[in-house]
Amino acid sequence: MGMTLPGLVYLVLFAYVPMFGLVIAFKNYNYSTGLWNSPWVGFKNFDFLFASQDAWRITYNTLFLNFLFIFFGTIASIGFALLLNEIRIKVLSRFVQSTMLLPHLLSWVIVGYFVYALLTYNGLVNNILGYFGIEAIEWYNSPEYWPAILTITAIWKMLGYNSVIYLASILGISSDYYEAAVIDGAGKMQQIRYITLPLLSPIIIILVLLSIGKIFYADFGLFYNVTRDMGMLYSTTDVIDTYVFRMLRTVGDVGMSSAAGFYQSIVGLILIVTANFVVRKIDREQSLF
Amino acid sequence: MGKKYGMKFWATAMAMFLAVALVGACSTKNANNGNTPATVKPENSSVTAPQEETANATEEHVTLTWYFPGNVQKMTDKATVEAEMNKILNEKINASIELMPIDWGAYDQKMNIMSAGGEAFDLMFTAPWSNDYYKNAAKGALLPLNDLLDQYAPNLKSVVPEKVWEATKIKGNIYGAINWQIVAMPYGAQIAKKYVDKYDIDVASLKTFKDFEPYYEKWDEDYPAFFGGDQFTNAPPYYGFDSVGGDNSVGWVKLDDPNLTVVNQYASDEFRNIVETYYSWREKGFIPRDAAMNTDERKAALNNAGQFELPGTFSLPLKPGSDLETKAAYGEEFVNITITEPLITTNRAIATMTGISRTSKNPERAAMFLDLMSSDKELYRLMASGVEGKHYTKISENLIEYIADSSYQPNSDWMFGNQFLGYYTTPEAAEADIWAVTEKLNNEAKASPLLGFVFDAEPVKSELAQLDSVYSEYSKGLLTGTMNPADKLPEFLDKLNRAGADKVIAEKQRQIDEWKKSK
Repeated sequence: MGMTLPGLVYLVLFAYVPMFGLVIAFKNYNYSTGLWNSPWVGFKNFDFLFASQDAWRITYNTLFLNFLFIFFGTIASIGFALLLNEIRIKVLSRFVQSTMLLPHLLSWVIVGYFVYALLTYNGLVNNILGYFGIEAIEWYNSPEYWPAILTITAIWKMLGYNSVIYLASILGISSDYYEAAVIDGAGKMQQIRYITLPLLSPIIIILVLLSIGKIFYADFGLFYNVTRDMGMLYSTTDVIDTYVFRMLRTVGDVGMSSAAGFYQSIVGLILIVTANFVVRKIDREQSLF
Repeated sequence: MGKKYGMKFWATAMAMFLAVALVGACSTKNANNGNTPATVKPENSSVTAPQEETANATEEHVTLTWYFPGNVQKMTDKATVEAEMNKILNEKINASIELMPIDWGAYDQKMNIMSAGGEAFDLMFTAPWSNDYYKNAAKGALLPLNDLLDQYAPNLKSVVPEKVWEATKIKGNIYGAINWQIVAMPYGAQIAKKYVDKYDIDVASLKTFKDFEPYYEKWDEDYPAFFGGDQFTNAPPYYGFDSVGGDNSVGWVKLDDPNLTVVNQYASDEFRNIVETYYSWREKGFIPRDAAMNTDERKAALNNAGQFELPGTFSLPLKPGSDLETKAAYGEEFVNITITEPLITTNRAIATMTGISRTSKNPERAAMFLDLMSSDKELYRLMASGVEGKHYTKISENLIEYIADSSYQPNSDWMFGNQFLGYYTTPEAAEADIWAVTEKLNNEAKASPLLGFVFDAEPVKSELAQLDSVYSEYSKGLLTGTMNPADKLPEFLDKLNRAGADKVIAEKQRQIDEWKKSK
């Protein structure tokens, strides 16, 4: 009980109390009259999101790109955790873990510059292409490549962090299972297939469910800094967060920003409840709630 | 997961949760109670106090806080300047000043948060292009200054002509005090003298941007002839227009149109002309392949290294002496080529202002302070240039030279009051008496037919937000020649229409027609 108290207080203070602020989404907020006395405007603040011709595009991009990140990110993290687990030299294993974690600690702004150095017209990638006689590509003018570029960048940054979580779970699996399997003549691949992965599945499901809950939130830092906010790339990289930021940077309306955040939370809630429902149907024990 | 814990645990947790929620609710209530007097009080005092207590207005010593954007690294010694300023302020209005410079990049957001959160402070820099004046006025972040200025800032009120004050008015209220400086801008180009000589440029022949083309063809520097950047949106008078509201929002008015008809500037021949020219320039190699990625920082870095475009910006607002300013910054001779007639527009007239925050506890004193910044030479010069001997050396009456690596050199004297009170920083400027030239220009220039009209964006803000998004999707691509206008320009116009361009234009027209009638 005592152990959970700080967490509970934190949750209440930072997740439940601020919910009163949601009323801003339905008001024409005026600084001089304050929050409670500003006039109600119904759903008018939501107009700009749904009346927009780009509504479908940003929704699709957000869901599609996040799906790519979750799908390939999960596979890569598990694969990497399995590989790490096989490193028998302890110092080397630690070293690899630390270096893989490093990108996670970098700010997206810096990562954005890395990518720029690689992909600018006179950048490293075009120089290498030139070396093989391939014509230089104007990356920042070619939206078709960007789902792949963003996926690779996102996974590169998150891989170390996520695989540590999986690695911890793998290390928690009792060695009895593996000893028994070895006696029965199981090879490495069979051990992974029949012992590690099944025992890892609860944690995989939890992590995937949690990311599905956030699928409607795009990582603003990634989509804004790595694409350098290039208009030419919006067709494949514009997501809800960047769109809202761009619209409200000049209009700067608190009510409209809250409306966008509110919409994202509602859809996030629906998605996580649905995903959990599906998991429950398949395997009751594995569901989150 | 929860099956490990018993019913009892959850019951206790629930009870805890409710208890904490209650405490939380109470504390938000308290916070509100605490806030209300602070936001209400200045309103009362601004309405009633001036009439009744003029004599008592400076009885109690107060400290004023002033937020403005700037290069914070160049103002590390602001304490010394504050101390000197306070000597004057103490004596004249029984107040002290606290300077709060915020980095350019962080300024807008910081002010937005402070205003939305109701934090108490007194003065802030505001303009249509930084810490948005229109938005602040609409959102109630700024105090109406009509009475305050009349009563406590007579010098400021009289130094700025009435037609310029008209430009600040939103629904009859002045929300910002003008920083008096150039308001009549001619537009044109600035070229490094070395290029004029090398490429044998006939300066007098340059009438439109197309006239630069033959010189781009001769260009043989490493550095690209043309760096890219938006040359259309920020210079409506250059193309014979004036903007209505924000420069990039759809709906401009032709200067020579007596009916003041609002048109879509992106559908104009002028816009088509410039994007087509850009596209052909990029194909010919005058514009670098990745021009759309270029930033102001990169440009500044190259300029610092002595590399310039020919000319980078041909629709630059050219104030008297701006060639000298560029020379001072980069140590290179420049030639100013004015192409259009000087013109006073609303957005130029209110390009830099200082507003009094709604949360100010001493709006009267703040107004008196603004008055001094526009009339007290000593005070203004302290703020703009620092302390003599410490931050600069005085060469003659009105001419100074900054000490190398000066710890106070804001370099933005146009932000702090009446610029014509300031020092000259180059002998050439002093010799040409740039302030007098500028004042003459201000007084003699023509005014835009729209001067004094201020657009109220509130009825169409959802459309404006959408249009803004469309603009940022296409502007860089089209205005660097990266996108082919043959198919991208119609696509851009189509998206603008679907985002509500017609509705915004109609609303602008309605407000202009009403304004015309009331004149």
